Amino acid sequence: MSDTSSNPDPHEFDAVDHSHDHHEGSYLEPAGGVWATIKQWALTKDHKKLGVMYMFAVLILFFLGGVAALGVRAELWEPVRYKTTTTVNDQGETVTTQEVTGQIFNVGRPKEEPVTDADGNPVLDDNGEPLTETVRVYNLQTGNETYNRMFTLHGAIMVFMVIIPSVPAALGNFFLPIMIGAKDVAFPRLNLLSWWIYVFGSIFAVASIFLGGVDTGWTFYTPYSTTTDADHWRVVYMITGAFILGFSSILTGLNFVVTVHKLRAPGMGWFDMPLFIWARYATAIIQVLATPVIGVTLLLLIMERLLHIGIFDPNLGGDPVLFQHFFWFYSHPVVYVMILPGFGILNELLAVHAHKRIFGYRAVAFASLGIAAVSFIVWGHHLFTSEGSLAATVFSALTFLVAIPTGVKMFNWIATLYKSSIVLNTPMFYALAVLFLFAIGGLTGLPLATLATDMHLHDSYFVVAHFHYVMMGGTIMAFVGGLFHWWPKMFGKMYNDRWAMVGAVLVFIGFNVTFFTQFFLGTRGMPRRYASYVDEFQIWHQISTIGSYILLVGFLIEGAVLLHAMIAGKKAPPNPWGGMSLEWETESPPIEHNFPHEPIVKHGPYDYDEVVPPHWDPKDYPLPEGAPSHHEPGHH
Amino acid sequence: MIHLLASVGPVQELFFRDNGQATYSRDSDLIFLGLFWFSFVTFVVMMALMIYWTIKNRGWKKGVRVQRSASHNNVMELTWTIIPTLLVVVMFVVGFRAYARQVVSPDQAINLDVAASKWSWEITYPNGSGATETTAQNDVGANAAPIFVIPEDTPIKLTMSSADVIHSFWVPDFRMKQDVFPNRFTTYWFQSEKLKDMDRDNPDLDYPNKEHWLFCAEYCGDNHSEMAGIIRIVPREVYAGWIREPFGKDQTLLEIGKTLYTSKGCVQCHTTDGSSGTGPSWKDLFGSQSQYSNAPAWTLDANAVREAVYEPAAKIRQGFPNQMATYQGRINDKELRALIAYMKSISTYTTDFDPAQTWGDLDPSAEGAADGAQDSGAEDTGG
Ligand code: HEM
Ligand SMILES: [Cu+2]
Ligand SMILES: [Cu+2]
Repeated sequence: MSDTSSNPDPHEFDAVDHSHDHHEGSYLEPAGGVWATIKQWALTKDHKKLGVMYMFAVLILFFLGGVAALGVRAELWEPVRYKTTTTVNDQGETVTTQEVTGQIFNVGRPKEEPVTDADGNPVLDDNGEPLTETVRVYNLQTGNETYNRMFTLHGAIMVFMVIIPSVPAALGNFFLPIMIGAKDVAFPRLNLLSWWIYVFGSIFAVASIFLGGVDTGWTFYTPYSTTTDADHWRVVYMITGAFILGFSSILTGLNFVVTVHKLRAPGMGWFDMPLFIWARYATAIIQVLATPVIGVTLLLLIMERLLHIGIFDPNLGGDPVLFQHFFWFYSHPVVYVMILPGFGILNELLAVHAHKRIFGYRAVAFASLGIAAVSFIVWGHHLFTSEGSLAATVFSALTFLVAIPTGVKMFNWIATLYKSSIVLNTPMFYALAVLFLFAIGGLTGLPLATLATDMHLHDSYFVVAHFHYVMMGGTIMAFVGGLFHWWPKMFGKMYNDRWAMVGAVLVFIGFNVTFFTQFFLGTRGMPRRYASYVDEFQIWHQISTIGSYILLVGFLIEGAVLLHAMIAGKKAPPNPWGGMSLEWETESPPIEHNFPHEPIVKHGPYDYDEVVPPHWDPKDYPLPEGAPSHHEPGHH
Repeated sequence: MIHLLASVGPVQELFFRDNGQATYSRDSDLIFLGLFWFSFVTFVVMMALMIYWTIKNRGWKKGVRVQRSASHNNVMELTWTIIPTLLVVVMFVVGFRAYARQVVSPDQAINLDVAASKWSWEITYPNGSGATETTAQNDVGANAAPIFVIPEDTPIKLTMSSADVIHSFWVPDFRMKQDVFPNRFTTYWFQSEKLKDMDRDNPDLDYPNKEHWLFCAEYCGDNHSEMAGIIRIVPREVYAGWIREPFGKDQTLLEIGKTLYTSKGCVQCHTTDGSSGTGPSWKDLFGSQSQYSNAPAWTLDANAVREAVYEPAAKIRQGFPNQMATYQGRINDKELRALIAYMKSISTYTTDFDPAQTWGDLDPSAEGAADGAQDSGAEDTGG
């Protein structure tokens, strides 16, 4: 154990008593040889290692999904047009040719063509059947098809493989047990299983790309999804992938619910939990209750495709709107699986870097549960233009209910800044950015919940902008903020805050340039999922595309800063920010079993005005006069 | 007052290209702008507080106990729960009332049928005809799009259905959309504003007119972004004249065939320059020898075309998917002749083609295409 941990004030803390420490190593310590280490990680039941693996998987998939998005944006730089040219040939005839312009990506499509001889007669094979050969055709339609595959890939990866596991699985796994003072989750083996299910599901889904890609959109609406590419398996692979990923989500949720109930450290009541845990707990409940519905729905979809059972396809007597109900019954609550953990992180970022208790702790905790509950009864707002008007009315009313707890949280967060003591570092910058972006995302939800205006805005770019503000501006930005907040804890290394800040500012600017323009595109009439558009929209699309490349630069810088820290960063102290929740009381990186002894909780996670956080190296943080004295330095 | 704010403000111009163009769309614009200003003020106040407190409270001394502050405040928290609750109730009610005007159509309306299919819109008028004009290429999509003529200031009720997957009928200028399904009918109604003399969206016409984009808003496959159209609002008397005589008697069949090729959606799958599409190109098609995957070879004469149009699944061309929907009831006999004239004109396999033949020549006694959607009898259609 290093010198960096001094001991806590005995009157306020005795969370970790290091004096009897039997010198347990960090969880990152390799097991010996390369193979032993690989085996150690692949079969680990340690929630921290699993969290780290999820994190890298999510970051790699985020990159892949991002590349697809940049492809989409590049394609939209110019609308797709025909260019007609008329020339006079040798015989003096005028020949007009049509050429498609404005298409960047066009992978073409294979097609069977009859083989003809020099005179144009069909060539027959040995059985007298006309001979055919496979050629690749390239035209307007195949280019559009390529575009459709790109945005489907982007949406499916970002939703099923990035956002859903990002905070919940990656940071949740690493920090949920530590923050409640537990050694691990309740069912570590199950946790390992969830991880491998996630890997397996992702492989299935990504495999569908290499088999030619899927063009259903991530929403898989029927009857399009039951009939497109009917002669291929890749759509089934993609759906199977999403189906498998669901199990990972359910098992993780289950595990976390039990962990929170059973493994809280002595002294930690429900209202002593950090708000991140509350958010993660509410999320886990949604995961457990809603995910089985999408599982069944996707299974039915696969059966419809393969066995034509006639449940969603009207040609077989099914109802396509039924699918939409099933789909959104899951996918709306899952929107909160995506955002609630982001809120959770935001609480930690604000509390720790503003050194202030979250204003109205209980209101924020209950708002999480309230949002989780209401999220189950608002799915119909995705169907305002497809369902009957009575249903639309009821769902509109219910949807507004979600706005209330969400608004309450916003106000509480802002009030938290009052009389606070802020260090404006990278994690804090991300926290403020999330408040800014999520405010826009939330407020633009109002015209979508209002029936009269949603009739216009539904399925337009306004919606695309709205959910990017919420999901990317809310969740992904909080996730990245969480990475900067906890990176020193996870890997025991500090990063270069100045460069991290440069990247963060670029991300913030790039994000707004990319997506704010899309609100105007939407209200002006640009439909979503269009490979082309009327000329008038071009300027807006070009601004948006430029923004997306600024975003790319920002993220590349952030990635470089984090990697650099891992390799060459300065050693991080156990508590670099002066946080009060339990993860700051163990080593950086944490030891194998998190804490040498079960911690006993004697103060709330945000009691900044009651106690002075322990665990600073007195050399780094000389105590000013009047501060409670540390007792004599440890056993070293 | 509020009305004024909504109709001319720079904010309206920033968000929308123009004022809403249907009688009910002013309401939704007003609501949108109301929500905008509400959101704007809320946002600015929240961000101002956030930035002010962040700057003011910067600085934290390591190891120093921070200043004490309230952990919560019930009165304040209740206030900022109750006020938003009341506000969203207002939003809901206002939104609902305007919505009712959008979805409940008046009793007296002109009924038109809308057929959606991958990837085109068709409107069938009471006289059985469809769009008789198309936009130039590249106007609202790369392909030319049909232009639908609609009388000004008249309630119109569309009864819509789809031949394949889900589509969605969206006219952004009306601020209204409705999904179109393969297994049931949905309706969409609107009434345009009265035309003003200066409304000349299409300056080539000698009467006032307004043109509105029509898009498909529900993803429906490859050429989703090509599924567009134009709603052209015309004076009532112009509409009345057009409905009586959709095609001019002296328009040539060739010219009409070309229009129908686009307006009936053939263009979505068949090219005319020999390049490959979802279906075979029409270039050098008529009169050629065709191979089928489920039937013996056949020379493509007029009867073969008729069968391909009305019973597309009967014979599947070698190398092409069975993807064409039937046009039974959507293309009448005379229109089919016009289409055949167009096919002949671009085929080197036939010489039997008179470019001067006109619509009026087909049936001197008939009034336009008023014979409606006919049954396809077996009689020879010429060629
Ligand atoms: C970071 C997390 C992100 C998430 C979770 C996310 C999620 C989504 C989702 C769910 C869709 C809908 C896909 C569909 O309509 O099928 C979408 C569409 C889109 N996204 Fe993202 N996205 C993210 C980041 C980005 C980034 C970084 C960019 C640009 C650089 C981007 C650009 C787009 C565009 C242009 C569309 C519109 C596709 C269309 O509807 O035509 N997204 N995104
Ligand atoms: Cu929703
Ligand atoms: Cu469409």
